[in-house]
Amino acid sequence: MATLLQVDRVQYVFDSDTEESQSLARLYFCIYCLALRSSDDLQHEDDSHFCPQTLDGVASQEAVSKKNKCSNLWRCPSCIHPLFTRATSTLYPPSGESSKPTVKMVYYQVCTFCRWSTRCVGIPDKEVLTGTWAEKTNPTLPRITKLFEYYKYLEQKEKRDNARRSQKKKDFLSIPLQLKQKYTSGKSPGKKSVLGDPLSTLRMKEPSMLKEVEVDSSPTLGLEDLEVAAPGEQVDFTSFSSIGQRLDQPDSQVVSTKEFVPRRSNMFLKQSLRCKTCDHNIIKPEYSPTSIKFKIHLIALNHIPEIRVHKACQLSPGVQSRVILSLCNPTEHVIHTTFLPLDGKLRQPNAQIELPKSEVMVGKYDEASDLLAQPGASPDSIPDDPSLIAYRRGNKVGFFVDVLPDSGLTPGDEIWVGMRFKHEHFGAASVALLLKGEGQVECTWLTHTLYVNVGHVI
Amino acid sequence: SPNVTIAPDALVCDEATLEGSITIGPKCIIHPKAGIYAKDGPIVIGEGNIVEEQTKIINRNPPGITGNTTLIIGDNNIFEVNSEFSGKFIGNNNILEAKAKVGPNTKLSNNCVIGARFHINTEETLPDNTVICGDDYLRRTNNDKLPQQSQQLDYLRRILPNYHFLVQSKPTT
Repeated sequence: MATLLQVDRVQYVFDSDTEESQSLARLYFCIYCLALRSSDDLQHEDDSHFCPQTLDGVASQEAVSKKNKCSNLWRCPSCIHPLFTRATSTLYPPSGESSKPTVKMVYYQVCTFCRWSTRCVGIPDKEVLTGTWAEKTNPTLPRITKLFEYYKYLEQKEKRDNARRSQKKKDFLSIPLQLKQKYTSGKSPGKKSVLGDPLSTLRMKEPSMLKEVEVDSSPTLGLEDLEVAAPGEQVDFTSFSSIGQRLDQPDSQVVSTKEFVPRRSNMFLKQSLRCKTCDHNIIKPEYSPTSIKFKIHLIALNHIPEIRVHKACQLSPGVQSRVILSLCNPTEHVIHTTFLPLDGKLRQPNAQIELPKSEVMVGKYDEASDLLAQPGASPDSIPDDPSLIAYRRGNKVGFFVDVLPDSGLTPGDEIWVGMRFKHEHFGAASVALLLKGEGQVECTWLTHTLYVNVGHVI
Repeated sequence: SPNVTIAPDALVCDEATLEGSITIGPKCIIHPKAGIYAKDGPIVIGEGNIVEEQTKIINRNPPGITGNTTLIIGDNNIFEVNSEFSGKFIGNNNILEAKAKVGPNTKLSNNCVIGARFHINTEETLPDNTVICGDDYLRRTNNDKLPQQSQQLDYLRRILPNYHFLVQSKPTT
């Protein structure tokens, strides 16, 4: 149990060339390529934008135009928490017609975590629930728009130069096309010329039409520009924003806490992942922002048997010790595994390991059996070798390995062993389909290389 | 305890621990399993305070100081669940959030908020309207009024007697 959350102690190699490895919990498994994939090996695609608090979903273009900000939710400028709308009734003094004072509901925003509220900074309350709170305009906005203009100008210029460079080639190619268009009965509507419109280069803006945009270099502050506190003056730290608060709102970077205003909350993104090799989806979430389910969810933990350190023991250099590793089968099939010595050349572990010589069989994952508290027996009812199998419980088996740390290790060093293990993989067909005779058993053998941190030198 | 004086309309649960010389003011609510320990002097609690479960209020001298001084707690303070106050003075309308801890060197004035799980034992008196919260223990001066707890007081006054035995207040002689 001590190693329950230490998932990084067992590293599966997902790239055999570079021998890069990661914990199985962070890897994906492509059932089409039958290979482990890391997050970097996959193509990330944006599916939908949504606000995690109000659960509003918006289209991608809309999210871009809104600068990925939610229109209904506001965030506290003092901490990162979302603001809540609080309603109170306020007594207004009697107006001209009625002699009685009127009671009106007013709304303001308050942070339930740090108790900051819009009333703290003197922002007047709103009389409508969905009133928007004025955001600070970015003081560098003119410069940003100017830079945008400049980049557009550069883009146009580059296009024009490219067009001019290929002008000769296009002229040459366009002659037979123009002749063809002139002397044939007419081109079919909707079909575009493969060679492109020969007149497109002429339609491109002339160099003189492009507006030159001048951009000033950004000003730099010197030490002499900084405000210097008079000697002996007491600085009131509560009236200044912290560095964290300033970096959290990089566009305005408010210095005084009195200038804090609510800011719009950022939207979250649902991503789908695609295998770069076979173009199949590996992760595909449901589009709806209220749903947390996945249409496709091929994480490695659901397909590959997981090896973990069951019980850490005291290890000392040059002394062979017995360690229990556990093997957990997440699939609905009984699988057989064989352990092989390491053949990698890039990484050298600092301990020798003696692996089980015979095959280790692991029972299938059965949801119903989790409820029954009975000790598991070997799946094929052959008694286990007690010198090999430490325990067996449902789809989990514990087995012994002997670890001999190198004699040159010093106390505190981490001890890593390496191994390969081979197991059956039964494709995506579930047992229910196989029993009906609809699915086909496609058994393949997969081999994984893994490195295990069995503990520290005492 | 014979040294405990409870105002007639205060509500003190029987399962709360009261040790030493303690005076509890009117409209106060002491939850079950709260602990008030008058070790280095008596404790005087004002009006309308809420002391929630597992809270400890201790009159303890700072290290190196001896003597018998009174710990005075003002009005309308809230000690949330599992908070601890062992200072020597606390004003009015303060909030100690859950698991907050104030040591014997610190005094609280009025309208202060000590954020959840924040420990403070600096030798100072926190100025009025100070709010301390977050991982970085950022201090802020709150210009807004803290919300009134009268609704919560009324609710507890109605609910607590249904489920807990109460300490009967003795008529003052």
